[in-house]
Amino acid sequence: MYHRPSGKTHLLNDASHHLLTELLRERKDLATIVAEFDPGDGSVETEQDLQRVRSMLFRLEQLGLIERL
Amino acid sequence: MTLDVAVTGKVSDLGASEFSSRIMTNGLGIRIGPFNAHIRVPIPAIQQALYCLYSDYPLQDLNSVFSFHAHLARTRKFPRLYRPLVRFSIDGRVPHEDMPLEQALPVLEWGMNLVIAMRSHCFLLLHAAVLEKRGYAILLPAAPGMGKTTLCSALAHRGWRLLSDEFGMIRPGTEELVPVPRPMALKNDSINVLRTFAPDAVISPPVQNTRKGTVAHVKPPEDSVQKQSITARAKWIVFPRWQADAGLSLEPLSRSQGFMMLAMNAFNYDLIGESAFRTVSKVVSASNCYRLVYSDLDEAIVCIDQLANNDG
Repeated sequence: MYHRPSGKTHLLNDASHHLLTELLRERKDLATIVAEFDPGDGSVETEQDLQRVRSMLFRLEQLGLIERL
Repeated sequence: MTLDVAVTGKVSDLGASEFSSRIMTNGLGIRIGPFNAHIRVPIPAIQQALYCLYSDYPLQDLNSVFSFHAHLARTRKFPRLYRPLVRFSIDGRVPHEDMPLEQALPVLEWGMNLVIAMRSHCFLLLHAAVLEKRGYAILLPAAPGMGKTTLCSALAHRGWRLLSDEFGMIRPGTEELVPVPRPMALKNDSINVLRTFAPDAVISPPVQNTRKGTVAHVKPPEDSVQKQSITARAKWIVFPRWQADAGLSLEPLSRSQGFMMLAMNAFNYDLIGESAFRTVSKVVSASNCYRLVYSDLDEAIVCIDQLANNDG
């Protein structure tokens, strides 16, 4: 993806791409995002999954691709 | 696509003596791809090599508007204390320090490449060799030392048309590669490798002890210079890597990998910005991407020919 404000190009993995696409559609909180990642078998929502999504969000924020509200 | 080019004969029409006389005094206008170059080189020692390397290029009238004026001259500072030097200047500016006189030819060639790389921002400039077969272009993007020019020179002497050994030049918004065929700089062992591989290749006398080791320049095939106004559409992107004793391998790459590797190889990707992003996207979307590891030039050529034949 090309980020106009910085002029940087970023190569996203599938998860980051999905996350960014969702956040561009509408603002969301962490719990909502994690819930949406849940395939429905209860395999998500562990503390480890929360941490994983949190670190992805933190990384996207660092790159200036999303903004914490 | 064919670009408009005004020509008034070619360098060899002048003959060696007239060529030398002109390039040493008022200079010569030469068409190189999309550029009108005015070149003045009052250095007798490299006249023969220059005439040989540039004999097929179209001449440009000296009243033309030139893309750049390249001048290489012997410097006269402290001639008794220091080795003789040459000074490269472009439009009257000197971009780097003076270099030893015996390196005059590589200094001129590097200087002209530098000018193209630093100024041609109406093009996206990928650091890649580019060749064409049946209207489609293969890009060979690589960092220095990966065997790009050796492979490119070999392909250019096995039926592929040379567009460039250094610049994948693309007008933003298209996937058309614009030719800028220039003498190809071989280094060190690759000089003898190409001599053996293509005994008909015309190669300038090797120059030793340059900052890149021993360097010799290969004359672009006549057909490539004659067709330098004909662009080619990208179809294959092959990232080559020469590795001693390695077995041949051609590994497909995802378009995402190809994109990032190609963009990182560009001279002016960041400068051009979003338009460069869209152009690389277009080129990669139109192409299949591979990583080629080779040690044997013949094997690599067969592999690339097969790719073009099966994927054409």
